[in-house]
Amino acid sequence: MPAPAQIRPAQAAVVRRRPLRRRTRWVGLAFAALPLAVYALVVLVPLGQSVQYSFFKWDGVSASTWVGFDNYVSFVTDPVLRSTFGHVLVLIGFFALLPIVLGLLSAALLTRAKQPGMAVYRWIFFLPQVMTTVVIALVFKRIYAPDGPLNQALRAVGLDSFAKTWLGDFTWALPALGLIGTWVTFGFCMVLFISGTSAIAPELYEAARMDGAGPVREFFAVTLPGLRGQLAIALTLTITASLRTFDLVWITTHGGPGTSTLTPAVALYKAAFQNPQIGLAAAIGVVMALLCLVIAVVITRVSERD
Amino acid sequence: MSGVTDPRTWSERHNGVKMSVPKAIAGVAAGLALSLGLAACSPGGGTTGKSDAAPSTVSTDIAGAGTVTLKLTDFWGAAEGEWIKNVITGFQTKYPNVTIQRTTEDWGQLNSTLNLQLQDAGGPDIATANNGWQSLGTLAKGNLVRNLDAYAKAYNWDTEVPTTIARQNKFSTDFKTMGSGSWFSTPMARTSLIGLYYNADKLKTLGIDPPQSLAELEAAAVKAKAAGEVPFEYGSLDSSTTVLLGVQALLADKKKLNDYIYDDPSVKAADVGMTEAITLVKKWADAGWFPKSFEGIDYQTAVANYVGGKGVFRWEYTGSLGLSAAQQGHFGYVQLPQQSGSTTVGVGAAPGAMVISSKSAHPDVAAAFLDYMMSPEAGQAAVDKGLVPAMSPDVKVPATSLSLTGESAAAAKLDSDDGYVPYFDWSSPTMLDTIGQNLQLVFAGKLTADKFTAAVDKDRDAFLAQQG
Amino acid sequence: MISKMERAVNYVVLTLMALIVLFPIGTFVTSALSPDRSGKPVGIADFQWDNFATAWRDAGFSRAMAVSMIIAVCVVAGQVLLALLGGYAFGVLGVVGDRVLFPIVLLGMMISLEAIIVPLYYQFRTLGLTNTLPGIILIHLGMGVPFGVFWMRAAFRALPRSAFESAEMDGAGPLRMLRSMAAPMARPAIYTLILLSFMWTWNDYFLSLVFLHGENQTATVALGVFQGKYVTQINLMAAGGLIVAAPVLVLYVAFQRKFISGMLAGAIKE
Repeated sequence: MPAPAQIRPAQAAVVRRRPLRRRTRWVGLAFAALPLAVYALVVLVPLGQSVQYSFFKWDGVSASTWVGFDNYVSFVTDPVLRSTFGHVLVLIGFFALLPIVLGLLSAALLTRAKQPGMAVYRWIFFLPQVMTTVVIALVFKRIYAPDGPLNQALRAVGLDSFAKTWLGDFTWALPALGLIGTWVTFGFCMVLFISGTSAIAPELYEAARMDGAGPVREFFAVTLPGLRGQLAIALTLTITASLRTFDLVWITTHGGPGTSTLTPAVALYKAAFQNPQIGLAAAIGVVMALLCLVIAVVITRVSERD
Repeated sequence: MSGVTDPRTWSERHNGVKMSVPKAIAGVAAGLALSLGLAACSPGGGTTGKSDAAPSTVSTDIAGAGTVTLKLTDFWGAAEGEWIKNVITGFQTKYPNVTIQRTTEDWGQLNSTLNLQLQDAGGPDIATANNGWQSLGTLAKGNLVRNLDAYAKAYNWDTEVPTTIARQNKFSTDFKTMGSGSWFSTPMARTSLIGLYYNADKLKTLGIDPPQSLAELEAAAVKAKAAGEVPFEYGSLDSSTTVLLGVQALLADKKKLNDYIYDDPSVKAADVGMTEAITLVKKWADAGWFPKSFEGIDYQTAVANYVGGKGVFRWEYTGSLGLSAAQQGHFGYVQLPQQSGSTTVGVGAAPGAMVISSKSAHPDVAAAFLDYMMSPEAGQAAVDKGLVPAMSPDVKVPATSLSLTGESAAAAKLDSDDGYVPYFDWSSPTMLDTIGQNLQLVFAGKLTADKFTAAVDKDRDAFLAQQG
Repeated sequence: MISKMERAVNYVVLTLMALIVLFPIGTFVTSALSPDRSGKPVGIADFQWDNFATAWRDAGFSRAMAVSMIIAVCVVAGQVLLALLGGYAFGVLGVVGDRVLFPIVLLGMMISLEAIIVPLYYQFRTLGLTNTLPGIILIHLGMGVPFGVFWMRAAFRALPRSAFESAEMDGAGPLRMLRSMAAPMARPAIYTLILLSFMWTWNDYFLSLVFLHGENQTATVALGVFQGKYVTQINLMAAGGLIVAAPVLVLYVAFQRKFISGMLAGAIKE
């Protein structure tokens, strides 16, 4: 289990006041100047402009008009745009909850005892994480095609009635996309939980086993409480990822059929690059950024309670 | 998409640095205020280039223009790509002092970034835009592309280009209406129609003649279905609308349809056959005349399936099947006459609107190239690549090409009937999305034909209202 | 120790999960090797390795892969430099105003690219940096600063304080201390940063789609175009996909531990 060793620096780094610090803070600013400048140029200035654009009606080329909060209002009142939040809720089930459950399960199985071959499983489960989304989208477009492997497999085992057009089906397109997210994300959750588990004191497990706890009770009594920090991280990362889903939807369904798989990020892209409504696009971006921030803060707060 | 964020808040805590939430938010707010301050003026102010006025003095002396290099960006691949290469070669042979550097991009990519590219100093001199408000209208309004009136005069475009086609490239200079006013783009010696392809071998096997009317088409479809064939090869996964627009042209009043698309608010979608068209298409879908699971088939796959021998008919843009010379003998094309009478109305336009960037340093040479793209030489080059020619009455179509013979005849018929109507999605920037999404809803039985038509009107009227 | 029974159940469940994970990739790989246009799987003897050569040629990957490689290598180099400077400043030296500056830097990890892409484009146009490799490299660098600084700051903080103290006694200035002591000691963290930075840059699609055109197309965008054209030649399309995924996959096979731990600590950026 060498992997968690890498994370240790971050976890073990306890604040130690260095006498060095006080004297060198201006030197530090000089060191940080270059990264800060690049960051400000590429992220902060455009971010501020995004906030500003969001108060204008602008087609991206001709003169703009100040419209106050109109763009925000239409984001919330337009039924199609509003529906994107509902889609995000569904996606959260597939991008966040399901991967966390599967991640917990696989982490529990992998850390239960030192058995040969565990590193291989871990390697496999994590593999989707390193693949580029374009390739993942191609892989699954193929899987979900009407005559693709999934339908072929269903027909082969006599489940013909379950064969669907998946990505072209109003009911199934969103869950089908969601499952791609589950496939990609659960390995990430697993690794997170494995490292968390390895930090739990072995005595706790010994004590539980002394009490005659089976694997299931042991998991709920010892492992799960010990993973609270990791669970909070996993939740924040995966929920904000659901909110931002773009490439995958764009390459597979463009938000269709109808608008059944439209996400805020896809709506933003369409507003910015297809139908020139830059102000609306900016407003969507600002709302998304704020939501991410709120989600992060709320989950931190809740996980810190008691 | 694996695009999660980062555990900073937590890792922060793990690091032992207590950064309270209010403090973090204060920091963020400070950052925002700072960047806002840096960008205080309203957007769009500095982006507009020159004024609307057409340049007063233009030169058609290209040989004397010195050594010029032009950048051309287009969205043509396959045969269309070879055609433009040959046209460029022809032009460069005529004017050895001119070099044209061509870049080709994916249609979707070019369409969504052209306005950004045209604002670039290093952007293209000439580009293919998409007609209508979604692309060309916005570019013209933003002064990103040149008003070409002076060149139209110098090269006599108003007399040489058929009126129905010329209109497609014009906007009023207040940018409130499309279809009249100044030239902002040019067509070319090619056209792209929506019409009906048939698999000649299958029709022969089935013992059916190529249909000459909508009724004959439906009769043929019944026969094909009974024989176990798929009557229409089609897929709606990425909202392909050719079947709907093709059918609409058979049912709609030509003048009203033109008026609807060219921003006449008094005409409604119900007046232009929209409800009838969507009802008919839905009926075909329900009758099983489209492939099984067509909702899960994307456009490219459907095209490939058809060319590969699946399906008897297909509604398609001309030039989009990518037929090889050998295949052209096995696929035919018809432009069905209108249901109500003998006239032929067809959706058609040049396959791209050629624009000259306002930033181009050599507009005179660029305009000469656009003019050359409309020349008979360019038309013959199109035919040589199996593409449908336009504005070139004398081109020689090889008799072995069944499809090209049909396509050329269709274009000629539309010329003589003055029967062109523009693509429906030009009527508003969001129309393509609107009809595509709602078409999928209709197929799924989630939207009635009337509601479909209402959604179309709602989209266009909202656009007209904000045009003012 | 756990019972034999439990162990067997563990293996069965894990193997099942592994098969589910591998199934999509497996069908893709067999498609890529199939001589059949529809990508029908065939026996090993019939594998058509030529598909890779064909896809490489038809998609023009020589150019696109070279572009991607140039971008990725430059970004990795720049990223490490910026992260070292920033991490060292925030983690060791301290920075004037860091109570405000550091949260602002971290905020960057919460911002999705979509939220800033439009103003970013206009700004880079003014600078004449659109559709240029230096332009996109600069953007990758800026987007990468938050994670890089965060990551190297944590790594430097984990170094023993005594090392800094003795170096200071020897009269080393801040720069020499970074060069000759801190950076070499934080080498494992730097390696991980290199891998992650390479992967994120290589896998990017959205930025390249918007900022680069024509000759400057990256491998991921070229793949998008290629798959549109070869939608019915599934074997070639799959081969193209594997070609684009290959560099990162090779690194993943070679350095899986660093990848996994790095992803963990930094999570996934874009």
